Amino acid sequence: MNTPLGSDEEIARRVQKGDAEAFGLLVERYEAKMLRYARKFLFGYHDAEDLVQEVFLKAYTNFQGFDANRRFSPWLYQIAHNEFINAIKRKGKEPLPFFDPDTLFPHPVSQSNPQKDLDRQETLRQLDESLGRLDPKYREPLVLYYLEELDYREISEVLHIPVATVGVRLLRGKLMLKKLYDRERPSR
Amino acid sequence: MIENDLRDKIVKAIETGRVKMRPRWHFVLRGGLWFVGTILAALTLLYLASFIVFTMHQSGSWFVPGFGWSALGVFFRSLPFLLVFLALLFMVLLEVLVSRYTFAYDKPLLYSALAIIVLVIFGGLAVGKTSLHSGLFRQAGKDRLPFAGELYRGYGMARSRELPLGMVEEITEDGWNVRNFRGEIVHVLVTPATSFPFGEDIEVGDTVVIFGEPQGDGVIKAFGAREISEDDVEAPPRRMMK
Repeated sequence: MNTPLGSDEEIARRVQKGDAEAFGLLVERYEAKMLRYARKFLFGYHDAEDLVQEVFLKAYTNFQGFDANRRFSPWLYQIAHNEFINAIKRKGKEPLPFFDPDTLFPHPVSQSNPQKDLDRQETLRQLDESLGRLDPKYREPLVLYYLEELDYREISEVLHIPVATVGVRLLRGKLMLKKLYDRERPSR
Repeated sequence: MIENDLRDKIVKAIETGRVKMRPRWHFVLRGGLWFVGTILAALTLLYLASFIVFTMHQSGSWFVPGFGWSALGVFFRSLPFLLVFLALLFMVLLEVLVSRYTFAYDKPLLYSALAIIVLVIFGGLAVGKTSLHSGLFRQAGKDRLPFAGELYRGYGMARSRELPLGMVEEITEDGWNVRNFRGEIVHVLVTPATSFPFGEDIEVGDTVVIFGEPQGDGVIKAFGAREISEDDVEAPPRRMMK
């Protein structure tokens, strides 16, 4: 993110030099995004605010581990992803796969651009209504791609999965989402 | 508003010292340890793979596939399973360690797994070709290898009863007398059914591997026999022979 106050990475360098107020700027920039990510990904978990606070505190604790030559947002989303996955595990409400066979083999999936995605608005509407009933494995990349507007490579960095697997999960997630949406609204 | 509360809470937590930033050296050290761990796991895997190649040469199982499909059972029975299991364990460990790096996780797992398999096969063969293990085996035979001595003495002398290996001492009417590396004489019965996949020209003084069925009393009925180079196996020092 680039603003008159500087890019995220420039602010990050100030934080690494010990400027706590600069970290406050990053919190301001990302709190809404993190809350949206938490509320959508952790659908029905009710403690999104506490978890987001924990994400920022962990980010600060580990800030010297951030490479300011790289982009800040995927790094922060990665911390959030780990925190949210741990929350899901703690609650034990939803199963999380130990190993995903989709990460094993290459998949020939084309990378689409969110700006050019014709059914984007339709998918966003479906996400809004049926997201909570989707498996977390598919829910998270959909949230990151359609709501947080991260690209395939950034999602791959956040989730630590191959870029091609991101494409597979998005494609399958969209199909599942459409099925759920159509089932809930048969008149459409 | 929640958003302002959140920012204020976090900045206050930082300023009061309730939350502290870990120093940079912590991350440098962690990254360094991970890197060293990855290199050590790769080297251990390379060592294990080449040691498996060495022990398979010593036990004769390396030469068994040359005898055809019928020898497949003997081949599997003579494999050093503990070492193979350990190598598989280190392959999984290396995969886990490597998957932390972007070059590994942003591509399908198959690629990094194949890279590890290539390292094991070609690295193991390459190191197996050197004199590393035969040298250590000789040192173990002279009791000059304090840590791995038992390992080399055990695996270096491992023999399958179905796969005697040694030097032809005498040609008899019905076969050969072969002195194995334990110093024992094995009488090999050669029949018209015995196959010689690499030629029948076996003479006194040749080093041979026999694939056959033990008949008891140091006699084996050969299904197959082949000459191997003296350099393919490391004869144990005299003190290790009975």
